[in-house]
Amino acid sequence: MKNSHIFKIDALVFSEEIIIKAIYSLNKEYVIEILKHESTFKIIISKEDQKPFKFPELKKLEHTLFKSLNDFKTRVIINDQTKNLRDLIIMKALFHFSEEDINFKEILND
Amino acid sequence: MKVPDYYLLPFNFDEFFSKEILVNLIGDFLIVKSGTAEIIVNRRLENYKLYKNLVSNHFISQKPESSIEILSTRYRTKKAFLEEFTSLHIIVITLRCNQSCSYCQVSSVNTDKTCYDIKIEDLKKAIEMIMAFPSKNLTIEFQGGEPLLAFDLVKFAIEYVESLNSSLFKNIRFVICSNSIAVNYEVLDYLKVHSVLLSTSLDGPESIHNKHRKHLSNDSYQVTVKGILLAKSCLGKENVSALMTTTSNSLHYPKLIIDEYRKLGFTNIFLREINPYGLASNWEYAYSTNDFIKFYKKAFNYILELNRIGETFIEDYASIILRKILTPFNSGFVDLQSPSGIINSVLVYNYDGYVYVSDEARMMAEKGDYKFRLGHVNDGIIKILKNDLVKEIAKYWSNESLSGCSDCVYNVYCGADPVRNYLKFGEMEGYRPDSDFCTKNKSIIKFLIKKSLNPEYYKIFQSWLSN
Repeated sequence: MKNSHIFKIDALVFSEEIIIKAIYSLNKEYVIEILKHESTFKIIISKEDQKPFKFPELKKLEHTLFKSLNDFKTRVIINDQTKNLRDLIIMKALFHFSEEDINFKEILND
Repeated sequence: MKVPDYYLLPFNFDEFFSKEILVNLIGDFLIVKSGTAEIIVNRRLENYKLYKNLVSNHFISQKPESSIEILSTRYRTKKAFLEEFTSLHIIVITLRCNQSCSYCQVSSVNTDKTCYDIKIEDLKKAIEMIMAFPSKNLTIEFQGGEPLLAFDLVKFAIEYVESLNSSLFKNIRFVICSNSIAVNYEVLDYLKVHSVLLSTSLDGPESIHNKHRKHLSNDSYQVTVKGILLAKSCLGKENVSALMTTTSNSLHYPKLIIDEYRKLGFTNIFLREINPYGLASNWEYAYSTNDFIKFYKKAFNYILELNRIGETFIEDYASIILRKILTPFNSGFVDLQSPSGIINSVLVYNYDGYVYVSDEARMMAEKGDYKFRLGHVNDGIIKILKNDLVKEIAKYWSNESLSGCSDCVYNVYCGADPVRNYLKFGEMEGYRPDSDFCTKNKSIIKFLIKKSLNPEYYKIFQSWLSN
């Protein structure tokens, strides 16, 4: 049993943005530190009361963390691929531009 | 059949019981197998039927530029409340009250303290400011304390609005929030002539209502019910509504509370959690959000049963959320909006002439926190709206840009509450995992979506929305 646990994450697979989003909810129960060394992130998680982790809790935490990382990776891809479109939709919805004012294809392909 | 290449359209996803829910930018949702979002994003989609479903529901597209028109039109519809700007104006006529409720959010005063009535000059200025707003449709709501204790001021306000409106031609709805105790024929005749709606408070049957709502007669329930029935007979039942406040006492009796409303001829109820303002902020009868959610679900399931056997009885909070989920429209409910309803949809003019961003903000001021005070009615509309406080709040009033909300699959059905965040966290952004607002709304939204997947309940919900 340990008082903190280190998860090593490949920085080529999960960016810092993804990691920060993934641990956002975990901050409620745990104290979390993120360190980067070369192409690896170390996520150091300990309990607020500094007590050691029991094995089932650690397994559950690992499952939650990696599921969250994978989900946020997918979300970041969606956001990256749809950002321009999202901005266009909102612009067109809330501002009164005509079709001629905006070159949609150019912006989408940007 | 092979799935063609496609582009992604904006959407979010999350686990939904043992499956996955996808929700797009305009609130359309699909329930799919777990892992579907990842398959879509990684272009591993092989199921042609699912592909067609995703295209027709605007999650993916072969030509995204062709989706822009329809998505922007529907997005504009979802945010149509912005065009109206501030359309709900709450005037606190007096802090005097003829009741003493242990969870009072207002910190009311005794009935003889007329110094807590709004001054005529401030009332006039407030009304002139209200009528200067660009909204064509206005709701002016009189609150207190108990506004009927200063009924002359209410009458003055209504008639001044009507005189100003004779050249402005706005659609004005008046509402008076009263405990119904001071209701009489004279008051009701006036309300009827001027088409004023009456919104009253009823926590449930006698034992529940009287537990926390004290009146001199020692039977608040009896005088309240007498007032409600009189009001209904004079104004018509469609012009009288009631709100309940869930107390720790209520948690065990959801059915009794609903049956009390049915007994008095109401066909709807708003299952309302107590808000942590005023006397309720340190209330010994407080309960957890999870307790409220359990109560809500029990009560709602009972309401569904009533509807199943042929009685139309609506839960108002569900109706508000279902309108966002099942229709292209928003609900106009200022507490569940993004950008949030504060300022954008509601302003409060207090008895002392000061203007606040919301009812909760003026309740905080009663406890000495003036963080959300915009100014005084004498400052004028421009100074009230164009100040640094508004700019500061604007950074936190859209859930699309808040941590924890921006990636939430339900954010299009939800809202932002900077005032509540400030109260709980000391800052307006808040931390979602500890936010009661988030816990409650996420839980109820998820619960309602699951219910709506049942065809029988879906039909009931559609009947509520067309009611």
